[in-house]
Amino acid sequence: MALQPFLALGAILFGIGLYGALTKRNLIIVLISVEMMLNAANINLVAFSHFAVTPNVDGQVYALFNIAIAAAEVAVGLAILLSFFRIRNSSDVRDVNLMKW
Amino acid sequence: MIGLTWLVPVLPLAAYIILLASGRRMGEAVAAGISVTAVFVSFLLSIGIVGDVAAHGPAAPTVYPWLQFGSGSAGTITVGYQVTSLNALMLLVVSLVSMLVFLFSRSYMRGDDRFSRFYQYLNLFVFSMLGLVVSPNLLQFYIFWELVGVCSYLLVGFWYFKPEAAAAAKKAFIVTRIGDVGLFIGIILLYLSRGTFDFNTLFGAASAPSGMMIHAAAPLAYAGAKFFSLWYIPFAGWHAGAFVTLVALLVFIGAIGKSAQFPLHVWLPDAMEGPTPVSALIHAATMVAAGVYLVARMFPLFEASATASETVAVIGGFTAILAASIGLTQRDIKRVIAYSTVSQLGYMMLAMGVGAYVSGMFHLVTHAFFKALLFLAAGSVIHALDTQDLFEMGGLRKYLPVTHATFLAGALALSGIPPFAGFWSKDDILTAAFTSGHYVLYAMGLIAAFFTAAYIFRVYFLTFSGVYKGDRHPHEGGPAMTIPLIALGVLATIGGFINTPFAPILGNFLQDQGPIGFNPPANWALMAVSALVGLGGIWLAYTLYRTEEGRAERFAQRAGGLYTLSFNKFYVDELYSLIIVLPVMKIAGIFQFLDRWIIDGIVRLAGEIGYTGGVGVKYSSTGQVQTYGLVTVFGLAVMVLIVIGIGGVI
Repeated sequence: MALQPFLALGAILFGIGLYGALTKRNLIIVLISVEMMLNAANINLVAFSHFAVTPNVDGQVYALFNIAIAAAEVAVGLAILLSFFRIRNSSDVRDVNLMKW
Repeated sequence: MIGLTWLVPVLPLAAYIILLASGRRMGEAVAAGISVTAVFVSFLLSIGIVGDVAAHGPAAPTVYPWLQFGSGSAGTITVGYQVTSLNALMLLVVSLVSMLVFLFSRSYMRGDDRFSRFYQYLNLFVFSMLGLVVSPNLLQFYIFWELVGVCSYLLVGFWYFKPEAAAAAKKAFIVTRIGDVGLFIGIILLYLSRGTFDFNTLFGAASAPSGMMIHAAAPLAYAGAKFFSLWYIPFAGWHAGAFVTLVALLVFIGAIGKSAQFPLHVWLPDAMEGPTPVSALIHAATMVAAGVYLVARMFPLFEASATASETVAVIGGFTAILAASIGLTQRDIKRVIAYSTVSQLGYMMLAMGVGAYVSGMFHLVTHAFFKALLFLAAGSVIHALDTQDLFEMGGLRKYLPVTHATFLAGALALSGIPPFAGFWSKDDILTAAFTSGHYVLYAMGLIAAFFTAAYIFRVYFLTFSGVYKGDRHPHEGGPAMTIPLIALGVLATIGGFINTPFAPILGNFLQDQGPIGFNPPANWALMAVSALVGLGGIWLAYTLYRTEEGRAERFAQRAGGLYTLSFNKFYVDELYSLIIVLPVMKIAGIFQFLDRWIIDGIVRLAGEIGYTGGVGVKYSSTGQVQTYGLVTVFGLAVMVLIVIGIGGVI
């Protein structure tokens, strides 16, 4: 197997995630899209770890780190989402408009 | 006593500081008491100093180094005090008049909200004036010269809430500043030429021992060539005589401003907006005489330049007749007396100009007495009636007997009726003008004397005789008012006897170091003429205002244009506002426009761009995270494309 298919998969996955994060109206979908982007990065890391000139385990360790961080991020994100839903009774990303002047 | 001279100005300064520190908490009686006491002690010291000078002659100046900026005496600026017969005399006059005016103010200013502040300013003024008088060098003199100007500004504008008073204060300050600039240039030129500011060494030989009087060196001035040979001329190619004339004229410009002589006389009548004691002290007896004192102090300089002396004489004579003719028609009692002051200062300048040093100083002294008296009497009238319009007065002889008697004494002194004080001094000046061959100036002085008698008795008749036209119940203002009036009344009556042709006490006192200037011999015919002219003026006022109702109005109508000219002060104020004030305001307006809209505009524009831009841009942040993200991604993409386009990072 060659490196390229993995990188292509990662790129496609990242692109889908980015598109979803920027266009979807549902906050949960946006969160899932962000997870997809993170996982696209993980695929890249593991692929490079395996196909590098001197293969080593570093990339896989980083991927594990990333998974832990992603879990924490999802926890925080869902908590925010939940409390937002309680206040506004909505999970539409357009209603999250507090970050302005 | 001479050793205590420094105490004379310092006492009023101490009173000033005490009043300043205690402020409004101090009661009227205490504030006035402290001030009067301080000046009274100064007055006693001055008497002692005059006695000392009369007995032992003048003392060497006491000086302390102040600034050291070079080597030798030229590189050291000193401060200190000096007593000559001239400034001993001035000390006495200033402290005496100040004391009486201080006493008068106790009653005149009673109940004023800023009573203590008034005395503060008065004390500061007296300190400055006495400091000016004892200054041993021109620089110190100039500092005090400016200080009295500031005090005059503060006191003219004392009732600053009246717009006229505020404007008059500003006018007084600015107009005198014009003269001060001339004086300052003159002082600097003198310093460049002689390397010193000291009066003593200024006119003396280079080797004159310190402590030698300026007057002792004065004879050098007569030997013109020798005098000039000591001068270093800072302008290449200038003849020494021309340079001396230039310096003398520059110094005289300062005197013109301070003593309200012809081109710059406009500030003094306006300064009457100040409280009347201020007019009596500053604008009659002391500060305005400082210009004459300056000319007297710099007398050798003027003696050395015939052109400058002639200028002084002509300006003085012209001012005397001009101001006297304006005084004939004014309706405001204080303005009449103010124009009279301008006119009398003109006489003093005339005397200085024709070289009659003693006559000029003599007139300064008698004028200080009778003019302060006239002002204080006018103040007493104003205090009783609360109006300054002559045509609302009348018949006050019955209500204000003391004021009436003293005013009459002052008026007779001013008119030059023997044996009152003004007769001896004014006659001295006229004799000097005649004897020295200035016949035109003599004629001008004589006509001015006629006008003088006419206008002051016009005031007298309108104020004190006839029937009272108002509806108040005028009464005298208590002993604090009457005592100064009586004291000055006595001085105005007998003050002339200090320098009669029979016993020239003042002349001998002033010339204790040898003769100065030109002492006119007594001339009985001229004396008779001036006395008759004075009586003629009184007769004119009497026939116009006392014999027949409406005669004055008919006379004014017959005079026609002359009356209008005089009533409108020869339109000098209008002329100045047209040719000076208006252009200056226009230019200032242009600069203000440039500054406000162009210079400031650029600066404000820079700020405005940031502010308005920020306000505009802030609405583009909608709070939509997805928009932010989109912009970020596209921005990143663009940046990446650019980096690829230019082939690398940076």
